[in-house]
Amino acid sequence: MIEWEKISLEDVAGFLSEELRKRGIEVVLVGGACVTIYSGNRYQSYDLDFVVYEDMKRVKQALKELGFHENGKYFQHRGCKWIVEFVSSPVAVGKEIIASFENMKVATGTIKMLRVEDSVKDRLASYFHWNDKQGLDQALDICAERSVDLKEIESWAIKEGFEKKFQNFVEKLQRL
Amino acid sequence: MLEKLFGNVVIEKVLFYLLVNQTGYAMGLKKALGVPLYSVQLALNRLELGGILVRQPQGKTQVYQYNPRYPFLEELQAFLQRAYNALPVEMRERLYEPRIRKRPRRKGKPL
Repeated sequence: MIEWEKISLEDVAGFLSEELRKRGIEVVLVGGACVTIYSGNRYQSYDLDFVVYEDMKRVKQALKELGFHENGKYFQHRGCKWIVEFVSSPVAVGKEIIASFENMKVATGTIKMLRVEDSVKDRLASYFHWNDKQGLDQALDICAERSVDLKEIESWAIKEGFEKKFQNFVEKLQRL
Repeated sequence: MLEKLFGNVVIEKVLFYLLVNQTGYAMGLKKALGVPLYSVQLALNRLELGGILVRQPQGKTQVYQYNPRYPFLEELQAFLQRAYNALPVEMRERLYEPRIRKRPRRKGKPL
């Protein structure tokens, strides 16, 4: 029995991933929720963004069966503080389409989500394109908690055309 | 030209407009393109939901532009540019490249 008032963000992600999977719907967790998980709650997201390739009508029906109600662009379960949103496919960071994912086991199920490197890239993309300092801080939050392949991120940043901003990120990382 | 592909002509016009002018807002698009405001708002909403456009508030106005993080942006814009170049010059100038002043004007300047 799920206590919706107390459930953690990870457990909502695990529950939804598992229950949708049982109904033949595969979802990928992206965005700030991945940062929360990888950064050990250094950054706290309050919404769960999933990418889904299935017809949203099927997804909405499944969510209804699971007790989630639709509120504009969002879905929420009664008593649960976390908000669920489905963002447009494909899963991508900048121009790079993502095909390899992390499968993280939590108490309520297995979450298919961005790999840690892709989560850093996702946050850095906001910093690169919008000069979003929060995106930069979140990328640093992940790196403070996790071992990250910086070479992979560097080659992505160069392909995206943001080598200078990547260097700025590395300088901040070295000061952590 | 691409309305059959996009499902409606307003989407095509909005995409062409933003391709040429980089940014736009609903009322400005309505005036420039000569289409109902509600149709423009629906088109902008649909393109935003699809991740193709993003909007940023500037004062009370929501200003739209192509989403630089859209993974197919380069390919989409290259395709649109080819289609745009195929439009009659008269139409391009009337709808998308009107000769209006866009450069800054100092406050209080008489002309």
